[in-house]
Amino acid sequence: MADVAIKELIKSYDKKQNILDHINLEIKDGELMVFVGPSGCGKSTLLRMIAGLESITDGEISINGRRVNNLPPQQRNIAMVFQNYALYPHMSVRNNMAFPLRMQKMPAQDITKQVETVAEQLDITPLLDKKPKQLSGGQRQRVAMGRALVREPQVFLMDEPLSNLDAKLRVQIRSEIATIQRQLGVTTVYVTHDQVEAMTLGQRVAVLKDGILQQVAPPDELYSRPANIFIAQFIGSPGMNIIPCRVSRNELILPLENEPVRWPLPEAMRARLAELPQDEDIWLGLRPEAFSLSAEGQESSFSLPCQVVDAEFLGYETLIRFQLITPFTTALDTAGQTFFTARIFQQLHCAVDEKITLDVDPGGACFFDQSGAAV
Amino acid sequence: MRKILLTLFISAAALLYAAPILFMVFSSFKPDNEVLVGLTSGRFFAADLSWQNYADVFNRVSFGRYLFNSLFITLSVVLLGLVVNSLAGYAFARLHWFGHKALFGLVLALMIIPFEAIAVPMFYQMSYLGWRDSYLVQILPFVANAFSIYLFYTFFIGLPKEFEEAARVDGAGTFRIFTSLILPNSKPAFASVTILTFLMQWGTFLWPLMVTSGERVRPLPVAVAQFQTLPPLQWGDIMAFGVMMVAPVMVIFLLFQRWFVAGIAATGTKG
Repeated sequence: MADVAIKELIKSYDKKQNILDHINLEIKDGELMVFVGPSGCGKSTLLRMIAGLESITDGEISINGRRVNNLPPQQRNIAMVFQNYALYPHMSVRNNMAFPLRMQKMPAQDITKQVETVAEQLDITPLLDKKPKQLSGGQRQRVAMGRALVREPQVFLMDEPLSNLDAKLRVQIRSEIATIQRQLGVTTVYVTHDQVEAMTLGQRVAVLKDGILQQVAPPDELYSRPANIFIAQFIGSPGMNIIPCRVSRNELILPLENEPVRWPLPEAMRARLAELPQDEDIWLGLRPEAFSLSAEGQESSFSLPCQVVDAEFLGYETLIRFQLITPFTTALDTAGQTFFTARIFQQLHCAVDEKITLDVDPGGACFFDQSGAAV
Repeated sequence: MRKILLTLFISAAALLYAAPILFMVFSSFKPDNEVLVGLTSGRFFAADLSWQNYADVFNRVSFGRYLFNSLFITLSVVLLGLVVNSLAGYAFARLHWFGHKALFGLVLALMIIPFEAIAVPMFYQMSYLGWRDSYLVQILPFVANAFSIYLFYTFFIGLPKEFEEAARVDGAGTFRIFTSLILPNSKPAFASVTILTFLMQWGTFLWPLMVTSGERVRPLPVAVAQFQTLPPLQWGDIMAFGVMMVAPVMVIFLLFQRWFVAGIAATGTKG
C-alpha cells in the first residue's frame, strides 16, 4: 500500500516539445485514479514513467515517500497490466503467474500457494495449466490481472486493459476490477481513453490533454463542474453543449441575429456571475439533459426555439440534435459546435427540420470565459 | 490440363537439377570402368553394384579423420555462433547505448565485403599469431557473422516489446529476459541461423586450403579436392567420397527444411 506523488514532472523526447508538461498530482493510498484523455495526450507515457519504463526528463516521482526517479521498474514494487496483456506465450498460466514470484526468489511451495490463492480469487483455477493462446480474450485479461496481483504490489498500474475486449465483456470486467480493487485496497492507476470507463471506475479522474493536466476531480464533480470547455465536451456522452452568451443586467442573452433570446438570471446564479464583465461574450455550458420539451400552452422563462437536425431514439430516451434557427452574432465561434444535443427522457418522434421549442433548466448551467476556463 | 503440363514441366526441371546428384549416387556403387561408360551410353544402372568404392575410400585416405574435422569445425562455428550472434542481435535490437546505430551500420557493411578480399591479410594475421594448421584458425574468425547478427536482429526487433517490459516490471534483468523469454520464443530464428551457418561452413574451401597443411585438421572439401588428384584416378571412389560428404547436409536439410524456407523468406535474400 502506498501513495504516489508526482511533482513538476516533464517528459520530452527532443528537448523542444514537452510530451508532458509540469504535471503535479497526488494519488492517495488505496485510491483508484484514472488517467483519461484523447489519444496522444500523454496518459500512457505518464503511467509508464510511474512504472519506470520511460525516463524522467525533469521533476520527481515518489512512491510511498521514496523518490523513484532512478529506480528500475523491478525495484519500484509495482505491477502492471498491459493493453495486449503481454502474457509469456511459452509458459502456462501457472508459470506466467509464478514468474514475478520466482524473480523475487520466493520458495517454491510458497509460490504454488500464492498462485493458487490468487487464481481462486479471480476464478481462473481451471485455466492454470493452459497456455495463453488457448484462452479467450477475457480469460487472458484475468490471467494478466492475476500475474499482477500475485506479488502484492504497492501500486497497481493498468494501461487500457479492457480495450481489446468486446463491449459486453468490458462492462463485466470493469466492475470486477472495481470490486477487486476495493477488496484489496491497492493504490491503482488506470489509463483509458474511454470517458465512460473513467467515470464508472475512478474514485478520482485526471483529465489530460496535449501533455497538460486539465483537472483532477471525482467523476461527479468532473461532470457537473468541468474546469474548462475541453473537459465539458470530453466528459459525458454526448458532451456538454457550449453556447455563446452574454450577461447583461440580470439577464442572460443568447445573441441571435434577428431576435436575441433573453432569460432572466436566477437568483442563485447572480452571485456567481456578479464578477463577470457585463455585455461581454462568454460561453454557456448546458448538459443535454438540461433540455426538455415545452409543454403545450405553458410559457417558460427559459425556452429556446430550435430546429431538429435528427433524432435518435434509444429506448428510454431520445437524443435530439438541433440547431438554432438564426445564427449567432458574436465574435466567438461556437466552439466548433453548430449542432447541439438534447436528451429527452421520453419516446419522441420528431421530423427532420421540424421547429420545436425546448425548455431549459438553468440549474446545472456552467459558464466559461473567453479563454475557455470555467467561471 | 494446365496442371498436368505444369507438373510435367516441374518434374523435368527437378530431374535436371537432381541428375548430377543421382549420377553421383549411382556411380558410387559401380565398378570404376562402368562410371564414364554410363555417362555416354545412358546406362544408369550397372549389373554389379557394390559398396566396394566406399571401402576403397576408407582404405586410401583417412576419411574418418576428415569427417570428424568437418563436423567438429562446423558444429563449433554453428554453436558458438548461435550464442555470440544472438546476443549481438539482441543488443542491437533492444539496448540503446551511445553509438549503437553507427556500430550496427558498420556490422551490416561487413556483409558486403567478400571473404576473398580479406583472406590474404587474415592469413598473414593468423600466421603471425601462430595459429596455422589448427582448429582454432578455422573456427574463431567465423563465429561472429554479420549476416547471422542481422537475421537475429530483424527477428528480435519484431517481437512485441510488451513482453520484455512486463518481465522488467516483474523483476527480471536484461540477461534473464533474454534467457527466459527471448530464447524460448525465437526458435525459428535459431533454426534458420543454424542451417544457414551449417551449409555455409560445411562447404568452405578456400580458407582451410590456405591455413591447413596436413590431414590432422583438414576438413572434407579440401580433402575431396586432394583426393581427386591422388593417383590412381578412380571415378567410382571419388563419387563415393562425394556421396559421403553430401549426406550430412542432406540430413540436416531434411530435418530443418521447414525452418530453412522460413529463414530465406525472413531475410528476403538467397542465403
